[in-house]
Amino acid sequence: MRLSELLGSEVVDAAGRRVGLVRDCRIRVADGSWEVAGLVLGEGMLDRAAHACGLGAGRASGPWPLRTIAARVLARGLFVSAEDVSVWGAARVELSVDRRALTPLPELVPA
Amino acid sequence: MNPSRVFVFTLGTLSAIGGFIDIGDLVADAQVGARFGLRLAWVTLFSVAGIMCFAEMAGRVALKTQRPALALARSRFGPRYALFGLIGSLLVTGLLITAELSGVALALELASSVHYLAWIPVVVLLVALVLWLLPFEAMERIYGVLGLTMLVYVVAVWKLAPDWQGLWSSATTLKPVASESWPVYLFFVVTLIGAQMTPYEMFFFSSGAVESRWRPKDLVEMRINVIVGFPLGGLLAIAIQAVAFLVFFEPGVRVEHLSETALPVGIALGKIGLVIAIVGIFAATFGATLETLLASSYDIAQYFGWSYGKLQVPARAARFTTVTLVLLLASGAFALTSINPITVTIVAVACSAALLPFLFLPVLLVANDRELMGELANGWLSNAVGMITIALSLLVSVAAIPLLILTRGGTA
Amino acid sequence: MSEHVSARIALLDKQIVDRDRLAFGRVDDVELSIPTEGALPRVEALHTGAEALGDRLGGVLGRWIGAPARRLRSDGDAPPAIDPELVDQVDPFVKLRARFHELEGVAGFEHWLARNLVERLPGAGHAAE
Repeated sequence: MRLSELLGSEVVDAAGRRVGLVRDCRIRVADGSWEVAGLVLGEGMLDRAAHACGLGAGRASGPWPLRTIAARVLARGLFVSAEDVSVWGAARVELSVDRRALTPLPELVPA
Repeated sequence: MNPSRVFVFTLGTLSAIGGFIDIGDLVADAQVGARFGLRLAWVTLFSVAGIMCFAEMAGRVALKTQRPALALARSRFGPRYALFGLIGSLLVTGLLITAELSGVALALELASSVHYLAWIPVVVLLVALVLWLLPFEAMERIYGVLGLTMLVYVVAVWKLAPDWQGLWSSATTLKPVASESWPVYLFFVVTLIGAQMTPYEMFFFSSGAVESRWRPKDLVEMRINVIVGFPLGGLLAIAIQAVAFLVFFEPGVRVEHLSETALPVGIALGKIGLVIAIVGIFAATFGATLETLLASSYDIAQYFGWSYGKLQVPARAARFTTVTLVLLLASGAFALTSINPITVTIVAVACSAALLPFLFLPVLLVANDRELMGELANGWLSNAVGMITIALSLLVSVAAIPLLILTRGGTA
Repeated sequence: MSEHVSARIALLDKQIVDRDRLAFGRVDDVELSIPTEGALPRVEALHTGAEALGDRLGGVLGRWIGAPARRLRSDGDAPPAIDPELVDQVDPFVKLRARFHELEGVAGFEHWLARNLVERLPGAGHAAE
C-alpha cells in the first residue's frame, strides 16, 4: 500500500473504539531494510495542519506564537508501536491493544 | 581595487531592477507621477522595506541550504499547498513574461519607429540566445550594469530644477489630489505594491544565490546585494514618478503609453537623455524578461524536483530547458495576439498583490526552522518586519481584485 | 526517538539526487508492504514521477497531472520506483548509489527530451556525461 493511502486512515483500538487518524509513519532506516517502527495518530483540523507544516516531529520552527499553538495541538497526539497493530490497511488500521496503552506523543517527540 | 569587486552587487541590482523597473513599474510610476505627484512615494518605501526583508530571508535560506527558498515549500508544506502556490505564481509571472517581452519590443519601437509587434519575434530570439549562450553570472552582470543607465531619471529630476519644497510637500501629503477619488488612490497603492513587491524578485534572488554558489561565508556579500540593489530600485521608481510629476501634472496629461514614460527625460536632458532612457528601458525590460522567464521555469522544476539552471549542461536538465523554451515561445505567441501589454500588466500586477501573503508565508516559516538553518535562522528583526509585511500584504491582498474591478483598472 | 524518523519529514517530497548529485525528481510517494502474520511493514520502494504524484494528490488535479506519464508508460512496465537498497543517505536529500542513467524506468520524460530534443541543439552537451 502507498504511504499516502495509509496517511489519514482511521485507527481503532482492540475494543473497536476510534483512536484517531494516521498522521505520520515512523520508519527505522537501517542499511537496506527500512521497517515501519510505528504510527503517529491525531485528530482535528489544527492537528492536521500542524503535521502538514512539518511541525509534528519536534522541530522547533517558526515564530514563537506558531510554535506554542503547534505544541498545544500536538500534545493530544498518540504514538502506537508497529508491533501493536493487528490489521494494516489503506483506509482502516486495527490495533491489538487498548487506547490507554498508547504513548502520548510529547513523550516521544519533545516540542 | 579589484575590478571584479564592482560586480559584487549585480545580482541584487538585477533582481531589484527587474522588480522595480520592469514594464509594470515603468508605466505605473509614470501614471502615478502624472496624476498624484509624489503622494504615493511612501508606498515605494514600504515595498522596498518589505522586499528587502524577504529577499534577505530567501537569500539566507539559499546560502545555508543550497536550495532556493520556494523549493523547500513542497518539502515543508506538502505538494498540495505548494501546487496552489505554484499555479498562482505561474499565472502571474507567466502573464508578466508576455508583458515584459512586449516592453522590450516597445523600447525597440521607441528607438526605431518599427511597430513593436514586428520586434516580438526578434526579442524572443534574442532572449533565447542570451539564455542559451551566456552563463548566469555574465547575464547578471550585463543587465545589472546596463540597468543602471536608468539613473538618467535621477539626473533628469535634478536638471528640471524642481521646487524641492514642492516635491517634499507632495511626498508627505498622504491623500489623493483634488481631482482623484479615494478608490482610485487606493487602487494605485495596491498596483504599486503589486508591481514593486513581486514574489519573483525574491525567488530569482534566491535561485541566483544558488547559481552563484553562495555559501554561509557569503552572508555579508548577499546582504550587501540586498542593501544596495533594492533601495536603488526604489530610488529609480521614485525618480520616474518625480519626472512624470514635474512634466505632466500641471498640464494634466495622462500617461498611457511607454513612450510617455521616456518623454520627460527627453524634455529635461534633450536627445542624449532620451537615448539613454531608451537604453535603460530596454535593459530593464530585457532583464525583467529573463527574470520572469527563469523564475517561472525554476518554480516548475523545483516543484517536481528536476535538475535545472546553469550548473550543468542543458542536456542534463532536459525538462527544465524544454519548459523554459516552451514558456518563452508561448509568451511570444500571446504577445503577438496584439493584446495590450499595459492591460496584461495591470491584471497580472493586481493578481500578484492578491497572492503576496501566501508566497511570503512559506519563506518566513522556512527561514525560522532552526533544524534547517542552524544559527542562520531568523532573528527578532527579520521576524518582526516579516510579520508586519505579511499582515499589511494581507490587507492589500483582500483589496486588490475588488479595487481592480471597482475602478476599472484606475480609469474611473 | 533518534532510531526512527518521520516518513513525512525525512522521506516524502524529499529531493532525490543520484551518485553525481544530479537532481532528477522527488519522493512522490512510498510503497509499503502489507506484512504477513507477525511481521512489520517495510518500505518496498520509493515512488517518483508525475504519475505517483497524481495518484497521491487525487481528484481531478491528480488525474490531470498523472495522465501524460501514465499514457506514455507501456502497460507491461511497473510505475517508476526506486529500491531502498540504492539509497546511500536520506539527509539533507535522498542520495542514491547509482547514476541517473543506470536507473530503469525512472524519469522517462527527462531521457526522452534529452535524446530527442535538447541534445540536437548546438552546445547542449550530452546527457550521459
